[in-house]
Amino acid sequence: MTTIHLLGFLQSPGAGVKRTAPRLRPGNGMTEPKRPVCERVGRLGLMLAMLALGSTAVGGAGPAADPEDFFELRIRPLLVEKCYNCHSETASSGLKVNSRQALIQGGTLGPAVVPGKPAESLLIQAVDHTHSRLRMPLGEKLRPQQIADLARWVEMGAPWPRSPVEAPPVSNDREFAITEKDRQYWAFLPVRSPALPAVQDRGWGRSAIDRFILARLEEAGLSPSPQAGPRELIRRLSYNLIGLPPTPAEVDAFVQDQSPQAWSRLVDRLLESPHYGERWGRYWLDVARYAEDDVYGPAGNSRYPNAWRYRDWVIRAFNRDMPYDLFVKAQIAGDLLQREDRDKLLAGTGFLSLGVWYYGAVQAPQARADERFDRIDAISRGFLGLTVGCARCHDHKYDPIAFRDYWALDGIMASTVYREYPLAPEATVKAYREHDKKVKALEDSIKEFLDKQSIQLSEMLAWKTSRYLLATWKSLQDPDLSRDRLAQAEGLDPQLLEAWFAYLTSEERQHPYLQAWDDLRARGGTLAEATRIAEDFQALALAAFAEKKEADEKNHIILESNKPKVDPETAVYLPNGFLVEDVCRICELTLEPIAREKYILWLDLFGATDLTNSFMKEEYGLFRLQDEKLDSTLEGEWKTYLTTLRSRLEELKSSSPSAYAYIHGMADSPRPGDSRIHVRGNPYDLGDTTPRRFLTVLGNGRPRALDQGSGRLQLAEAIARHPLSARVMVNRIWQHHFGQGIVRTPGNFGRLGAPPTHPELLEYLTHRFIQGNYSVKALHRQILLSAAYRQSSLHREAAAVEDPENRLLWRANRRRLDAEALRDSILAVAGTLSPDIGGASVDLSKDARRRSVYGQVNRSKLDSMLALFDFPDPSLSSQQRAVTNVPSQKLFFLNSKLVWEQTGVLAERVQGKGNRLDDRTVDRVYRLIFGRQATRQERQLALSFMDSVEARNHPPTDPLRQYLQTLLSSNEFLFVD
Amino acid sequence: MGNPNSPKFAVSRRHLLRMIGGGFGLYGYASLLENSRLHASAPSVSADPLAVKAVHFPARAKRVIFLFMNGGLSQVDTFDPKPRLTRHHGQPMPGGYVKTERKTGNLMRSPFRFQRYGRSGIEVSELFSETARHIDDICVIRSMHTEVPNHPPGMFLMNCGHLQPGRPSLGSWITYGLGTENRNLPGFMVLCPSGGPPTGGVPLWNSAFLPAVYQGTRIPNDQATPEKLIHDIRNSHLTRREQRRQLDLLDRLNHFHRQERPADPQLEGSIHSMEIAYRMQVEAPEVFDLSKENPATLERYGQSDFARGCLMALRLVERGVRVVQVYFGTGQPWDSHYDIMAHQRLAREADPAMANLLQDLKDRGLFEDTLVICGSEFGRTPVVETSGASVVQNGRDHNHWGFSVWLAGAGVRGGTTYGSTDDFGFKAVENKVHVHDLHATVLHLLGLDHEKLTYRYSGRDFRLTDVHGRVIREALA
Repeated sequence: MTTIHLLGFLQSPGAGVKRTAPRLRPGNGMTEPKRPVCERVGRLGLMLAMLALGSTAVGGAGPAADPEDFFELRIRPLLVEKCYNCHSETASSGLKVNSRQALIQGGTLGPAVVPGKPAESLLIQAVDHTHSRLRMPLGEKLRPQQIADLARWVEMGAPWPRSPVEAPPVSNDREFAITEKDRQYWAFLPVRSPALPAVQDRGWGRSAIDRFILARLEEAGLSPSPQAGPRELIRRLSYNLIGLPPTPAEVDAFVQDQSPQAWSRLVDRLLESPHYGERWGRYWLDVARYAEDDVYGPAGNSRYPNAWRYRDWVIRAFNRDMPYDLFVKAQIAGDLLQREDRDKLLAGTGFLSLGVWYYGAVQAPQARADERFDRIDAISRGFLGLTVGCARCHDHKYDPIAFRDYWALDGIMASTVYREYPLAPEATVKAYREHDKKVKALEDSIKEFLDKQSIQLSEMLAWKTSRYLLATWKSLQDPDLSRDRLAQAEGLDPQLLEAWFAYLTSEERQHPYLQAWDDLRARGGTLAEATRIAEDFQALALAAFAEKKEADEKNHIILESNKPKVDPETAVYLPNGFLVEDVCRICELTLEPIAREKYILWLDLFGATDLTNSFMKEEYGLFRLQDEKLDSTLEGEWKTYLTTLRSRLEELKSSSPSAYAYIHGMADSPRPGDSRIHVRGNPYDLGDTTPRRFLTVLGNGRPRALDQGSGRLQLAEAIARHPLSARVMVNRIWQHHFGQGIVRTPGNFGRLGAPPTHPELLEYLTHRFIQGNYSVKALHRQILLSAAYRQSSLHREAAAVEDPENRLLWRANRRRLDAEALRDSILAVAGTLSPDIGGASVDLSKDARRRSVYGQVNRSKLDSMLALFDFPDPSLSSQQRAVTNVPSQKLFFLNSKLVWEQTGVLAERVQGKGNRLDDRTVDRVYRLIFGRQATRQERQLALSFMDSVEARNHPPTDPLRQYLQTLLSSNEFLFVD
Repeated sequence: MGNPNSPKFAVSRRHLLRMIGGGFGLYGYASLLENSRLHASAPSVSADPLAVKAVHFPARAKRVIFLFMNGGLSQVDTFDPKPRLTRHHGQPMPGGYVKTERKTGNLMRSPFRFQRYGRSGIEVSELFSETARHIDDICVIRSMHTEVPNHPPGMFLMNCGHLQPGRPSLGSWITYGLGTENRNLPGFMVLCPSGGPPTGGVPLWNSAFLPAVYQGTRIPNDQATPEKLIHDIRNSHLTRREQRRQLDLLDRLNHFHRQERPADPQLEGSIHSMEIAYRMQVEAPEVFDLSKENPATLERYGQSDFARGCLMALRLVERGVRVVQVYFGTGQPWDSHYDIMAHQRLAREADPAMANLLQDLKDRGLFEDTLVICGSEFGRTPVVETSGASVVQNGRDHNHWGFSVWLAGAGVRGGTTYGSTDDFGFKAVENKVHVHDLHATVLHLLGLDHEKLTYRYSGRDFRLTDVHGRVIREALA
């Protein structure tokens, strides 16, 4: 059996064979720039495909072929590829070729096919170029075999079997129809198992992969590069699999190992390293837009304290080689899987739950729709390489994804809610929550008590207002007089008098009530005048206090009677206890105001937080005492009461159970249902509902209904079993081994994506991947054991002229270390890197021990070093990192604290006796940093550098550190051959 | 030598500054340009992502300063005088209640006096009396409108053309489209005090799916020490001579390395970047060292963070930085919900700073090819806010229905207004200008066609203006 049958995706094994189509030039080249090499590759691909077809066709295409098989294998794909563009939906010259009837009916020139009579059939005359004018397809001539096939088919009577794909196109909207051609697009077809292509050079290559690579190279007149040296290889492999440089001992062992199994042993060892998951898990986390916070959040808090459990889950999944189909299912519907190990899969739903939450940033309908968009976008690009998000507002412009397909999936996400799954016994959770409640209640009591005291006290102090004014007046009259003494003499508080003095002599006041005072100060006056002004001002202050108090009492009633009524049935909770219904409830109320000037006066003397200040800073009025100052005024029972409450709080806190761990997960909503379409994506313009179902084009005829619960589990299964998801993952793995994918747009396998450079190879690997129970490690092994992977990265002029972008892989790609590998390498060579696996995230700007994958990933503020070296924006699913080269990256090497500190540690590590650098030290340094020995010239350079530093500087900064910093800044450290 | 501030001198001084900044090109990688639709030809392997690029049509502006009054500048108290609002003070808004973020009440007149300025006689309130001296070089768009009356989405739309975070910033698009002139400094700088970012945060100047070289570099303009302004700009352990010696050694090592690995532009690029970084250490701190300015200049701008920001912006564009965005401050300072008098305090800092920026741009010969934009994420209501969050009812709520933005400098038709709001300043009614239209106009002035400045991501070509945008030709000279 040569065709994969995927769990009922095909109706019968026979149908699977029938639909195996040799379509190898995917896409229509709409936007791909014309690249001569590629064009040739394309034709070659087609040829190979024909060869492959020959080897896979069940029953062959020989004389005894079953007419239906013959049609499905030879004719339908040909018509789809060569004719449908103009003769299916659009009927050029009135001709459609998408049914037997249409062909017989023909177009403006008459019937295209006369069954049984090829010579009389316009179709045959046109493709054979025997017709006087008609030459089809436009601009090319079919190959003789294809023409012969068509003629033979007409001769057979043009049999056109009924099959699911022949059913009339599924129209899910008036304008949008998925055509047969759409379904025949390479990425949607069942996986084939192509035969290995023939190659000339039998000497190169060890594996099937090499055959595919070599065949394309030979077709382009190119040859592969020789194998890289052992030092290069171990360095390449080590970075590739675990993201760390090999140790000198590891390098030595590998270089000395002459056995033919040396390489495969190395591959196995590194694949078994627990650091493997850290490296490859991180690749996945890019796709999963993994982050641990959001830009918004209640009261500025949007950190997800247990987010790292998803990160660790991903790392573990890679380390344990979780089958990829399960990996997919766990991330979409881990909570719904009926398995014994469901608890271990639950954390996978972090893929959904840790996507962006917009909280109350915009009105709920918009925010929730945007959140669902994020999930659909991440799922479709991440798992299927399809840009379903493009169909949010209208049908996809290029791919067969309908507007309604999007809203069908939206229904699934709308039927899914955020849920936290405690990782502790129920009793523990309950105890924690109760305890927490108690602590909060007590804290509230203390705050309430203190507020009350502070307000009461301010009212009492208000009666001293005039005395503070008068004391200030006296102080102004006699600058030599100590205000401390004055305060004592007047029975006032010295600190308060200081504050009043500052207030009364400042220029910046927002109310007019001290105008008379300011005038008096300016012109001078008598004590009697001052006394009158002071008393008037005090009266005003007391009036303002009373007015505010009255307003507060009324407002309290308004607020209390308008407390939001939360219906637990319909309430939507987001992370951090955020209740969607609770967005700015007071915005809709009207409260009792007081006059602005009086408010400002009140604020200056009695106020707490100033609401008119948009910074919302806590600023207290002169008489509104706080903290120790307030405490010191309390006596007797009041004091005892406060002390009791506080010690009780201390007690409670010291006996606090530690916060229980939980998983940020998802669950089905209690009321799942279909979504109404959002007309043009507008959440305020709703249309009719669209039943939840899988993407039409992937549904083989009828869209698959996804309607059990939220439909999420069915969705997960549909995705996991569709060959497209396997193709996408195989391509991702390839991409991280070679620097570029076979499809160079790893998140877009649609028509606007790049067509595969090696379509047959992709099919072959995908086939093996699925047959091998989706083992990612097996796929790694297969790729890594190829000669293609082990090629040298050296430039070859002739090959570069032919294929400057190395699409055909005539050499390995030299690659810059990514942010994590760079930081980890610096720590590794210095010997400070911790081997610990997993755990809560650390702040990388403060931690110089943990691997970068364990750093916090904040959407609100990315770590600056990671961002500098192209870490992707974690709000979006990232399919491929940019590789930039900007001077600020070099400032990191020149001046950063991290590099300088680590060179210090490294210096200690390599230092022989004293500060002198001898040949042996230089060698040790080179072996640590570059994995090789220094050349004679490099040794000399090192020594003369040291000498010149010592000679010229007094006292010199540690010359060894300067030297090591230079090595860490070098290209050899930054790039991997 | 005559007046050092005369345009003639300024040109040569500018030229000189650029010379220092020019020199090496940066080398990016082909992968950067793979998605670029701006460049029709196949990407060259050593293409420099920040190299000055060809424009779609002749540009009027070479660089942009965006003064952002985050929080929401009230139009009826600044650039959109409404006599009928004064007359109908205390009455309900004719035509009925208009929904904004919060509960509002009756019309509330502006407490600020308006006056005619310049030959054009455009009225500006006393809050911006100094800026108004330049009114004949300013075009006030009085008919702006946006989508929602909430800060973060408003900020994202105004800065990135989209309501949610995750799209490239205006500054990123411009740098992507034009490259930058001074390679010793980032092409897109964002000035905001260290107390915290404006509401919306870092995504406001993210490059999102554009390559990271186009993201804004945030400079905390309240800081005086260069180390705090640019990450790792200074070495605290080695002398410059020691560092030079390190670089000389590095050159040799990289040379050996490259000899064995010929024809790899990545390696070349890396070597060049290092040289530029070395020089950046001198130039970058110098730009932000305001002590290099005449003390009288500092005095003119004022003592605020925003004043420092404006002065830094001047020095940055003078050195060929492409886009400088100056946020008024942390969070949303102009958000005067409860008391519109807060605008007075804020304007005391804003007005002299922006007025002197315009003056100095003129004096240094930069005004003709620098576009200055001043605006906020939305405006404020002409009606008083009465919401439950307020105890004093003397403020205005957010208003996405109508607000003002002004443009000045390169290619702008000065001394004009464009569009208008209703009689009370609530809703834009005549010649309405959406945020997308403003963006289209800004790109147009820079020589970029907003429909052609695209980037292929996630299966489609993205634009700053999405599928919208109309160039406001009436605002152009």
